Amino acid sequence: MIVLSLIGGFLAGMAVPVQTSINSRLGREVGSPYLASLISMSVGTIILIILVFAADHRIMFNISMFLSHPWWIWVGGGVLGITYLTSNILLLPRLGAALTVVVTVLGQTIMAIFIDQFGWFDVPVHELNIPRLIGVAGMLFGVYLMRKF
Amino acid sequence: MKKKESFYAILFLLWGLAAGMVSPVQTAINAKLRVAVGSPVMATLISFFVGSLVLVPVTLIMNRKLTFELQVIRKSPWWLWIGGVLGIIFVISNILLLPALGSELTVVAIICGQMVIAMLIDHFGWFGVARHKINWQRIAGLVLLIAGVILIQRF
Repeated sequence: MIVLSLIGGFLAGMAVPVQTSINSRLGREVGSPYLASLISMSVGTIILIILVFAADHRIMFNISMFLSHPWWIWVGGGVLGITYLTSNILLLPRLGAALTVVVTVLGQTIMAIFIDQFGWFDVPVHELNIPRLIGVAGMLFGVYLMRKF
Repeated sequence: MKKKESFYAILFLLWGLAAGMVSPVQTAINAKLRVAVGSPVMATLISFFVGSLVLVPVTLIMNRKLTFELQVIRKSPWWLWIGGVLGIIFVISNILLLPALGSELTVVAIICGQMVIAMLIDHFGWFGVARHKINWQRIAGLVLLIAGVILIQRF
């Protein structure tokens, strides 16, 4: 079962660079990377509406929740999502697929370490230690190797 | 000329780093949204819907138009339109795998998948990406990255 899940994770990971490559090509065809992002997100939205019906059998949530939660939980994910998506589309033709992946993974890791260190977003605090620093140094050297060769 | 090129290369690398930094923040916010609305699929839908809405003015500002030549649909391969589907597969897989694998293995498996396919895309020039052959230095870089991710996840 765990092997199956690992393969699932591996395949899910593959979806990301393929999506970026496809969207990058779409951007060239329609003449705008932003429009490519918009098409990609709109197709996703339509499919998610169907999935929500299938999974939850309804497409409503309690409106009072808008007031009981901070505003940024409603818009933050979407805005950051398109920043990530569009940046990837713009960077892929300039950096290549592998370098785009490694540099964004490095950025993710550094940010995740910050979030852990300071316990942002109510995440339990997990302080920086020597093995984590070695990990970051190794990743930096990996990016250097990929960039150089 | 050479100097200018490497300046841009570094600029793009920093941009990629910044774009990557956005990703865990997005994950953290979406995790809160998921709890608020009580459904992971609904949370993903809100995220995609808001993203689409924001991209409308962004596209209008950057390109002054929201349309494209309709013949693109006829002339282009079908897979040009399924980028969004892959995005959903990624998000939903993440949600389903996390309880089965735990965060360490989920992150490592996903990053391995990303890096392997990205190297293949570069090597073969799939989807019209410029070809960049695999060599042992690139493989060493890949191994270092994965080892780094494992170290950070473990400690």
